[in-house]
Amino acid sequence: MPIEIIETRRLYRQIADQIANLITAGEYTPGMRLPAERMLAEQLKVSRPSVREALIALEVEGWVDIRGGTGIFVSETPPIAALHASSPGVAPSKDFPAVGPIELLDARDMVEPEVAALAARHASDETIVAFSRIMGDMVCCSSTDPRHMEYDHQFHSALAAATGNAALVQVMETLWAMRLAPLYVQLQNHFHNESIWQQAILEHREIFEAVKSRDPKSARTAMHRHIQNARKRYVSNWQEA
Amino acid sequence: MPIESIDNRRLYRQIADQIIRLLEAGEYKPGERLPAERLLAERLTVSRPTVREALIALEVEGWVEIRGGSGVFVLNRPEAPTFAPTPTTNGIPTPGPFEVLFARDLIEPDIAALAAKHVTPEQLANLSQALGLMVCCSAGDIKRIEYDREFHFTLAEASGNSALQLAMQALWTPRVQPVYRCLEDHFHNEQVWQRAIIEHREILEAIKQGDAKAARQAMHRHMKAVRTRFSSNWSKD
Repeated sequence: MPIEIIETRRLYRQIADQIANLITAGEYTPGMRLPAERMLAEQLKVSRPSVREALIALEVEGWVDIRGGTGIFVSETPPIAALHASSPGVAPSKDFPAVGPIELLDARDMVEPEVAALAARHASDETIVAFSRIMGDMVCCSSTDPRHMEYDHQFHSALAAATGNAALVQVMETLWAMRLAPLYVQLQNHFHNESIWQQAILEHREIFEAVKSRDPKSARTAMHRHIQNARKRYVSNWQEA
Repeated sequence: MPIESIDNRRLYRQIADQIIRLLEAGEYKPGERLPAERLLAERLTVSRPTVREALIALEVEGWVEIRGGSGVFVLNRPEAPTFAPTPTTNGIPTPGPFEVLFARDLIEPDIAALAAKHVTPEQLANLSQALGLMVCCSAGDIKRIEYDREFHFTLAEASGNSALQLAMQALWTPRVQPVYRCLEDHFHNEQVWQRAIIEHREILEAIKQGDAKAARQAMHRHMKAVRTRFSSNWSKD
């Protein structure tokens, strides 16, 4: 069974479904290592981030084990297809599209720099105090503490609230809910460690400083940098297991 | 009872609640005319659009009647003061119409630009169909909102980014709630509707030509135009 070329522009889900089908058909057997990410991307004529999203989706669903830099292995006990009827094979509906982490970051990069600029313009003194508290919590939190996600959420929510626009708050919460989806969390786990967390804290501090000095332009730039960096982290090389 | 200044920068709800307290205290009696929007805005030191949102909220809740250019009149107090609890979604207060338009103006021009690059022939057909239905729909037909939704949602889909699609859904929810609808009704007529159709056509033309820059501008113009319509003077009855 040859690997088919994916026609449409994007979609990790199609790639994941195709790989799952190959596994079901016995093209890749349990314990076997999948071709490298770069190879898969070339063969499927898609970008590497899309392949990575697909692989993470397959990991979440139990089709493969990702052993960091060592490679991606077909799970010894692949899920019984029937049990997963609701994930692979089901096209995301128009109303509930399955959002990939990279497109989520792209969407956030469109919205959040403006949110940060507005926050810098409108933040009250109390808001600045609230930000300081969240920054403090972040700095005191180690990368292994699961609360780091919560503080990150608090920071970005506080920014949205500081714009004074409830519609933007709703948009942010909608985007954030996707960030808590298994696919995103799994991807983040692969690319999370102490040094990345320290870097993320620095990026948040830059945003905070810009908001504090009521500098919309710097706030916009700092947020854009933060999201670009997050994107870079997720498309970097796998860590050694 | 003097009108207090609102410290918190925004929120039509606070202003609406303050006016309700004045009504309850008998400061303004049934049948009486409230001060003009502009005066209220000055005394409360808030913007006129925010006062307008507050007045519309009071109208929805049955406290006042807005008679276009003639003024805003106090009604007999609702039987059981329908303190319509501010509707919320997941604990987030429902945004006022002007907040929604502001947020949409941040996001939708980019959506339109992406759609110009990524739209599929099928999505283009759906956009044309939505516009066709709009053209055939009269201003008084409630289905126009459905067609409007179809147009904007198809655009979001055509952006190729499903996170943006969900963001669009989050922005559409408050657009179909009473305060927004009531404000819209006050400033809706055949001429406004024809104008809106032209604005949508400009967006579609830019998408068809794959011109991201023109699409972004057309969407931005559309959002600004809606905002201008909602901020215009009350029409005479």
